[in-house]
Amino acid sequence: MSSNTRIKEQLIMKRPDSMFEMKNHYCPGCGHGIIHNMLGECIDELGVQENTILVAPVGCAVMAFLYFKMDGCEAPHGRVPAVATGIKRVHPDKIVLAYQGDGDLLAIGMAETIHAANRGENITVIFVNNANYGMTGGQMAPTTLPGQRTKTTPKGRNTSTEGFPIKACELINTLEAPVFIERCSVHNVPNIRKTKRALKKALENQIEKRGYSFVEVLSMCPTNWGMQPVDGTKWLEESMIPAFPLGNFRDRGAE
Amino acid sequence: MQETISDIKTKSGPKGRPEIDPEICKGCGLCIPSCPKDVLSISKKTNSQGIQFSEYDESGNCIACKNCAITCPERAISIYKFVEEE
Repeated sequence: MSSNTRIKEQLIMKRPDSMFEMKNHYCPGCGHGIIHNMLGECIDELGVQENTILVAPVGCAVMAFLYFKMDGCEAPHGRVPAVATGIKRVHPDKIVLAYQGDGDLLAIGMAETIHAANRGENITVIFVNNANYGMTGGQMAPTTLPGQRTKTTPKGRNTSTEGFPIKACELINTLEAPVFIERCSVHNVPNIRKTKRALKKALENQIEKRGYSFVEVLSMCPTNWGMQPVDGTKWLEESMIPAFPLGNFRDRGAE
Repeated sequence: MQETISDIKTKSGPKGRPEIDPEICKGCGLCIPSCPKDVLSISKKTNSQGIQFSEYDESGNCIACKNCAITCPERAISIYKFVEEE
């Protein structure tokens, strides 16, 4: 008990430096906040905050650029990859992030998504999949699971009239140009850490000018799924992951 | 908190502590199942918006694993680790 062995408190984890100290507008238990924090940490670790431009979608993440201390641009509904392509071609030295939801990327923006991927634009696309249209109140999205009840499919999605969920990673994996495709999830701590690793790889691919990177993140939407936040993580694990298997589909950056 | 280094090197003592900002916390409770030591709970108190926020049991055995801060969608949690002072 000598006086020079006192302990002090060292801050080891806080809000990322590239994010503002403010409350976000997402519902309690929403996965967007977790993905924002992981993205902020990756940007801090790579030291690219000054050079990054975030293109926000229409959807729940429409205000995403408010939370990051970096430049942002708002794209029309579904046109995030097109706007990001334009920004990247004018500023090839900047890091361009396209942040999209499932209605934005797969319904309205399907053409832009596929063609930006097919051209192999040197951008990073972050696709947040929560199996419905969150901002407008939980309507059916292209990723809604068969039998899942939403506002527009009150008896569950009927595959004979409404079709099957679109698997974005598998779809983009059929194209030649993309260099990095991975699907991850934010329902528990190990998967959040994997998500961060995938986001960092995707950003590194862009910094090294390798080409198009696509990261799909399965996220919770407890408000529109009609459950408590913790039940939402369980539903994601039990229902969404069997339909959207996690894993890396392509990593040409490592080769 | 004035403990000595011998206290934190024993297995029983806390290795750190989370600091939860009650005004930013939305009370979603995602941090509670993520904690391996079960030291977090939803408080009976409310913040200025009437939300019952998450709070740390001061007598708990935090190991500064950072799981709660990683899981928090608001990043309302900062983690302090107890280290030896020079």
